[in-house]
Amino acid sequence: MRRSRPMLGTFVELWIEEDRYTNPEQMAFNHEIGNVVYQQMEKVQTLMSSHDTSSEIAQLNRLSKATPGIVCSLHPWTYEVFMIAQKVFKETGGLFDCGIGQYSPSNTRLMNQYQEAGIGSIDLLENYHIRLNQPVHVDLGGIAKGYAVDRGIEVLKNFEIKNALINAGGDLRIIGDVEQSIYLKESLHGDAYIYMGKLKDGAVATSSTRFGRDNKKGGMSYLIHPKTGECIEDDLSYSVVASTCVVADCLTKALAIEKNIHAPYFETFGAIPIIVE
Amino acid sequence: MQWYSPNYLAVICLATTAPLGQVFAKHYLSVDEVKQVMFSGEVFTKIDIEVPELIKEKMSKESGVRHSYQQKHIWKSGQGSWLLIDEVVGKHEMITYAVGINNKGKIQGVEILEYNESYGDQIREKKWLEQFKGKGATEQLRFNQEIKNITGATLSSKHVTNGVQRLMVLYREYLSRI
Repeated sequence: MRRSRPMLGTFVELWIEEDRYTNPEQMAFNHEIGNVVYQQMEKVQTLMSSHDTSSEIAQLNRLSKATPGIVCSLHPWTYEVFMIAQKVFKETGGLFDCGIGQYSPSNTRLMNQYQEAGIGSIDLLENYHIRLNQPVHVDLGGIAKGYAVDRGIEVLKNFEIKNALINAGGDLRIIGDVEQSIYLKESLHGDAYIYMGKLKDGAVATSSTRFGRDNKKGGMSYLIHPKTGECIEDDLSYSVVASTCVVADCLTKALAIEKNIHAPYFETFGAIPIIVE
Repeated sequence: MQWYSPNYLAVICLATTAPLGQVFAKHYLSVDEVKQVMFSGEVFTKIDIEVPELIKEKMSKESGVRHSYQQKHIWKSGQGSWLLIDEVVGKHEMITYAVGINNKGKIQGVEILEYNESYGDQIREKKWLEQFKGKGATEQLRFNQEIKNITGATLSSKHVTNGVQRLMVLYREYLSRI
């Protein structure tokens, strides 16, 4: 079964292996499972959108500015994303920081307005509570898509689906014992598809500074150095293979910033960095 | 996690090479399948109607989709659900998609049926072929025939979002009133 839905600003493909022995009832059931997968992924989108002013993240950003030191509760999924984000933040020495959303290109006017702290300034407490010690501007754009893929994969595993794949606009994860060929789309304008390798039971994500900007309009890269606020502008593509999509997604940002395929954090997370130039 | 790569180095270089035409299509669901996925058990009848030009103009104006509406498939179920199938055209792609509207007038689901991509002269031939060296023709054949697992480009679904909007104008201004 192959399906694709417009979601998370892109197309989310879902594949569940079927063969000539799969009966019509199982096929119909697979579609039902697919509906649940998409529902769960949509929930991630609703919870973690930075653009939706009513989302948990938008509220949290406002609270941190209005009442520094406030303790608030999060949805368990958002809390889990914060835990992962802080772990990657610490391991990468702050190269991955989803707490500096004020640096996003659409928000450059705010850059100097707040001396906001990053994700590391948030204390994770018990029972899904957090303490916002300083004003932050959390933007989960660089992690939520990978997390959504992992949530979708969890649904498939719960239904004991053996071989399957979810690809959310290039952040993909495969489960089961089949090897799948992975291709890299090298440019948004279709310059090339590159055969990268075969992946089994793992995830791959890619960040490219090429896709995030539009030179004709004088736009900027969406990848921002968390310590300097500078845009990462080059013509390279950064992929990371890891066991979960959320980790692959986060580490592509650290790879794009540091460009160091020998950085120790890749080994820490059991990940493989790939730069295409 | 297992990763097998033909590139032993973690840095892959791409040289500028000559172009090669390339078109590929991804087929997801058929019209019959999408009916089942969205409205399991409901029986649909194809509705043959001519959407008035005035409505088409309104659809285009409100959604921003310039490509003209072809009204290929309009289906209605005995329970009052609608299934509308439409195409949107982007710079390099043509996407056929389905929108299900339930009998309360709410969107039941949006599914992609087909994704056709065409890059004409923009795929680089030499490197394109080189990547299959040592793998024989099988890998290239697989690329041409199979649905690809592609990382890298986060394709925007904005065209489809606008397309959904134009079908909702069609429903609001015309289908819900007939």
